[in-house]
Order: sequence, then C-alpha cells, then structure tokens
Amino acid sequence: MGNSFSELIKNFDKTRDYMRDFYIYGFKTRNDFQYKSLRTYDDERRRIESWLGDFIKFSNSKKGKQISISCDSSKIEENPLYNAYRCKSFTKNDIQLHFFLIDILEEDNFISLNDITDRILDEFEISFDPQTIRMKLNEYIKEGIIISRKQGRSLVYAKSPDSFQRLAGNDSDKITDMIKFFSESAPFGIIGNYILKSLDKLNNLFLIKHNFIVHTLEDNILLALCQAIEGKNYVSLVNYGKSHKKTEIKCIPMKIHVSTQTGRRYIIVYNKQWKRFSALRLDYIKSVDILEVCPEYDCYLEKYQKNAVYCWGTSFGAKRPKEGIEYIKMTLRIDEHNEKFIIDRLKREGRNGSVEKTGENTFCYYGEFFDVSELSPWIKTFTGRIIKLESNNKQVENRFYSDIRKMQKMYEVK
Amino acid sequence: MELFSEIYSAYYNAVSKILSCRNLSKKDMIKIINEKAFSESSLYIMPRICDEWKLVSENNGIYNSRLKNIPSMPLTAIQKRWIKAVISDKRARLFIDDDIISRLSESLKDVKPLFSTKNFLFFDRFSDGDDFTNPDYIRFFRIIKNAVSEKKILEISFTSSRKNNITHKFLPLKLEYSPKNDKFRVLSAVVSKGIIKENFVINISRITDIKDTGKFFEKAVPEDSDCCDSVCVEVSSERNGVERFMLEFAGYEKVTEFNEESGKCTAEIWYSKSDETELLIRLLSFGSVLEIKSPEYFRNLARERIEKQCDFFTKNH
Repeated sequence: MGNSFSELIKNFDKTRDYMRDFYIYGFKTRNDFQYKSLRTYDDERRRIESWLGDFIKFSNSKKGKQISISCDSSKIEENPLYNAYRCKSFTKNDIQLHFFLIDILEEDNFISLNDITDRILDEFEISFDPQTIRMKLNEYIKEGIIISRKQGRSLVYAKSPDSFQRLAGNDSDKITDMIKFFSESAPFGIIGNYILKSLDKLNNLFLIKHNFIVHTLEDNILLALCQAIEGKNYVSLVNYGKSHKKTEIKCIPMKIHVSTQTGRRYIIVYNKQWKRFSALRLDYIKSVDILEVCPEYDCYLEKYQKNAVYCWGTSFGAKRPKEGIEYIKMTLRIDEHNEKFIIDRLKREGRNGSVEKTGENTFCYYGEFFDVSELSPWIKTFTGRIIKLESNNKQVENRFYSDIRKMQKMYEVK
Repeated sequence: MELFSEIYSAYYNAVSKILSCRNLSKKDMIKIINEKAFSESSLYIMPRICDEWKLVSENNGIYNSRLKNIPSMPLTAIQKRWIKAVISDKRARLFIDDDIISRLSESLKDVKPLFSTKNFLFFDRFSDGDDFTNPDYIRFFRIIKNAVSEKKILEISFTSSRKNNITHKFLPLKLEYSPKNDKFRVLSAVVSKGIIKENFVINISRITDIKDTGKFFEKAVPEDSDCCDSVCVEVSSERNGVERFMLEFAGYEKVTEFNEESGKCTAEIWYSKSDETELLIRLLSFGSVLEIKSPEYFRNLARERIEKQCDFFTKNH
C-alpha cells in the first residue's frame, strides 16, 4: 500500500457517487470521470475494488476498460455496498482510546476522568492528555457506548449496561434471526448489519428478491428526512435534479414514497413558495439541513392525505390539482376461464382504480389520478390485450398508440 | 449519533477479534484481518497493531492482547433506536411473540424509534401480500426458518397455483422475501430417498401443513443452476430511458456498454428461467425505448404480444 493510498475514507459523499456509477451504470470508463481528477478516480476505484472483491467485474468496450459492481441482488445474503460504511478513517488516538476505554470502564462502576487517565498510564504505559480523553468520552456518550453521572462537582463515567445479550436475554436466537431479516430488508439495514458483525453473525437465512441494494447509499439523507418528518420540521435541501443543476429548496417533508419496482425513492414535500406538493428523488439530494418546526405541519399533512388518493406514484399533477384530475380507461381482452391470474393482476396492481367485467372475456380498468402519464409503463405490461385505451389526457393516449406503432416496426410485425 | 463511524469499521472489528484471541502468530492475525476486513487491510493494520497502537504484546513471535478483558461493546444509541423501530414492524411477529415485543419495548421505553413505517409509502407494492398475523402462517414460517438453519428435511403440504394439493419431502434452503410482492417464499430442494432431485419454490401462504421427518440433510447442497439464461437488450436515451432502465435493472447481473454515437446502451442481463414472464413484461413496460435483440426465442415472445396488440388496433380503427 503506497503512502498516499488508504482503504479508509473520511467522507462518505464522494464514495457514494462513485459506487453508484459503478453499480448502476457499469459502462463508464476512466475517461468518463475526467470531471474529477484521474488520480481521485484511481484511488476510489482501488478502494471499491478492495472492499467489494469478487463483486467487481471488468470488461473491455470500444471506449476502454469498464469497471462495474455486478451481482444478482436476489442471490446475496449480505448487501456488498454495506462495506463502504465500514471504512471510516480514524487516528491512532481514536483506536487506542476506543479499546482502552471499553477495557477500563465497567458497567455499574463509575470512575472519574482522572482515574481513567491514571489507569491508562498504569495499565498501558501511555500518557494521554485528559482533555483528549474527555473529548472521546463525550463522543462515546453521544454514541451511547458510555454513560455519565454527576458525583459531587465532577462527572464520573461507566460503560453502558445495554448490551445485546442483556436486552435479548433468553430470546437471543430469535432476535438475532429477526435482525438477520431486517438487516437486509428494512430502512437503515446497515445498522442491523453492524449488530450482526458485533455478534460475529451472518445472515444465513434470508434472500431478498426485487432488492435495490443501492438504496443504502442514500441512508444519511433518509435519516435526516425521517428525523425532520418526526419533528415536523422544515428542511433545506441541496438538490441536483434531472438536469444536474444545483438548487436549494426550503420545504416541508411529508412522506417517503418508495417504488418497489423501479428502485426510485422520493421525498414528497410541500413547498410554500410553489404552493404545492412535489416529489424529489432521494438519490438526487446531496444534503439535508433540518430547520425550525413548521407550526402548520398537521394542516399540510391532512392536505397531503387528501391528495394522496389521486396519486398513482409521485406526481401531484398540475398547479391546481382539483381541476386537473385525469382519468384512464383501459379495456382488455382476458380469457376469464383460463386467465384469471390477469384479472388478479389488474386488481392487485391497479391501486385506487377499479376493475369491471364489461362483456364476455372483456374487462375494463378505470382510475382517476392527478397524472395518468405515470401509468404508462404499467399499461404497457398488458401489451397484447389492450382493446382500447381512453383518457382525457390525449397526450398519454396518443403516445401509447404511437409507441406500439414504433414497436411494430422495431419487431418487424406486419 | 452517527451512521458512518469508525466504531463500526471493519478495522475495529478485526482488531477486536485479534484482541479476543490468545497466542496468535503474525499469520493468525493476518488470517483474522482477511476474514473481518478487506483485501489490503492487513498491509495497514499489521505494522500498526504490532507496534504503534500498543494493543498487543509480543513474546518470541507470539502476540497477546494487552487488555484485561475480551473487548465487548454495548448496543449503541442508533442500534437501540433501530431495534425499537423494527419491532413495531408487523413482520417482527414472525420471529418473536407479543410478550417478547412487550419486554423489548419496556427495556427500550426511553428510546425513540429511528424511523416509523407510517412515514413510508410503498406505492407500487402488490395489494395481495401475505397475512403476517395469521397464526398458521407464523407457525409455518418459524418451522421453516429453523429447518433452514438445521438442514432439516420437512414434509410440506401445499396448494399449488393450479389448485392441486401437493405433499412432498423438502429441504428448505432459504427464505426469500419480496418487497414488491410482500410475500415470503421457501426456496427448497425436493428430497427423495435422501437425494436432492430439483429446486422448488413454495409460497408460505399456500402451505397447509408441515410434518417433521426427523431427518437432516448431511451432505453438501448442490448449487442452484436456475440462473443460466440471458437476454440482450438495446435501450435508447429517449425519455431518460437509459437511466430508468439502469436503475430498474440494477439488481440483475449484467454487462452493459454505451454507444456515444447512437446514444444507446446495450445490456446483457442474466435471469432465472422461472422469472421469464415477469422479466418480459418489465421489458415491455419500457415501450419503444427498449428493444429485445436476442435470443430470437425471447424476442419472439415480445413480438407475439405486439402482434396481438396491433391486431386489436386493426380491428378498432
């Protein structure tokens, strides 16, 4: 390992972008990263290669050597991208004090800073400035590893008694299995993974299908947004939209909308300036600042809930939503005796729409939404069955027909 | 309370493991580091742990921890908050009964949950997900979960998608959850006369009975050979097609290439044969932005549907 290279990183944000590019696209070559320094690219690539080992694939294209993170996410027991979280850099003082403190401090036996300083000197023959130790103690109090209380005029410290074993008691195996599942499927699964690592356990029970492992890279953003929703706070977001243009938005976060099919996750926000709800993709948000409490939060929440029934996915439509409700009517040919599974599909996937039999082997799906263009991909999954598509949004209707015509040419259908 | 902190780092984990063991050689320490951290980690950790960090003492090439105790960490604040959040998820009952949840909630009464499921809307999740509160479902889930750990052979009765009642001996290999379907399935192997015949997938919600055979599968389980088909597609940049495709298909094993001149991306995707129809309709959902190039057989599956669709147009216009 050269002097300047380290597997460890100080800042997660830069790595997040590289990992995303390697995982999502996989077709970029070294030259595509020229907007950053090539030296930085080389270091990031080497780091990611080191963390992810066999998940890294190389291939040659006309443009040069491509690097990608490639895996079938339904066949992995542990999200490989979690490794990026396990690489925070540290100093010599950090690691020494970590192990010295968890060795010296006991549960239920509080000792003072002076005693800690003396014991480190006695037992490990290392002299630390008490101020350095105090800073680490304060940091560990925030992390919940150490607890403190007042004794006379000064503080005394002990190790937190909340061990996993104490919390789980005789149900340790069952709770560990629960953590194995949620570490791969729940928001902030990386935290479950941290617990498993500290217990020297691995998930050997569960696989997750339709698994968007890349979501973990947005966990810091999500954490701040969850905190703001719970606290009913305004937030200031730095957002890079589709055009990659940087904008700063002050808004009220309402709910996280997650697509289990496309992998996109959004924060639905109310923007007072625009006087409307809108959806911002989590992977386009660079940072979140939690601001003051919004006193009218509950009013906006009520408004959101009223509006959400007309929301197919994330679009809240035109500026004046009540005037802008659109309908979609899709008539389909379904063999009602042999293709009941298609009728079931319409019902389970059609959200707030209705399904009605309108004739022999003919069914109609009808729904009202703010923006029926959001239904277009879903409608096309029924290609081959659609007798008629009708909507008051003529653009959606026409685009569907023209798309099928294009596909007719593409697949040389006469 | 940080999500990204050195206290969770692979390096700290490796060092903690080293400090938990007695009488280690340098080779032993490197082995631990390779297991707990990454491919280049030992190059960084070894010179420091042996000298600079003063965490181990050396005697004739044998290393021992200088700590008095085996290092053990309590649960951190963020870990407790995460546990508090997940025990309020309806699926937690699949693992632990209400009395355990109450006990955990009591122990964590001063802890604020890290997140609340009510703040998330999985808007395209299928509405016919499993009933995780059904007592039979919970019972079957737990029997299967334990059988996966113990490699136990079970006699499972279930109703197939074609409404046939089937009973057979199975070795449960893994439990698979889909957030899209909100369902658990058992990935299992059919066992006959102690030999694995083929892989089989059973929806837990279709199981009607499970009997313990009292037998365990002692041998190594052969690798699943289901994922051997691939499809080659071309995606255009129109309507943000490449970005949409790349994210939606990120979970598949694939090789991609982007052609700057045409603005199109080609991708070869590997998939399980049992998921072929699902893959086909997902590809069709991209419309004319995506073309299935090969194999001919898969391209024809799309072609047939488009042909049928065009027939409807001809009849109606």
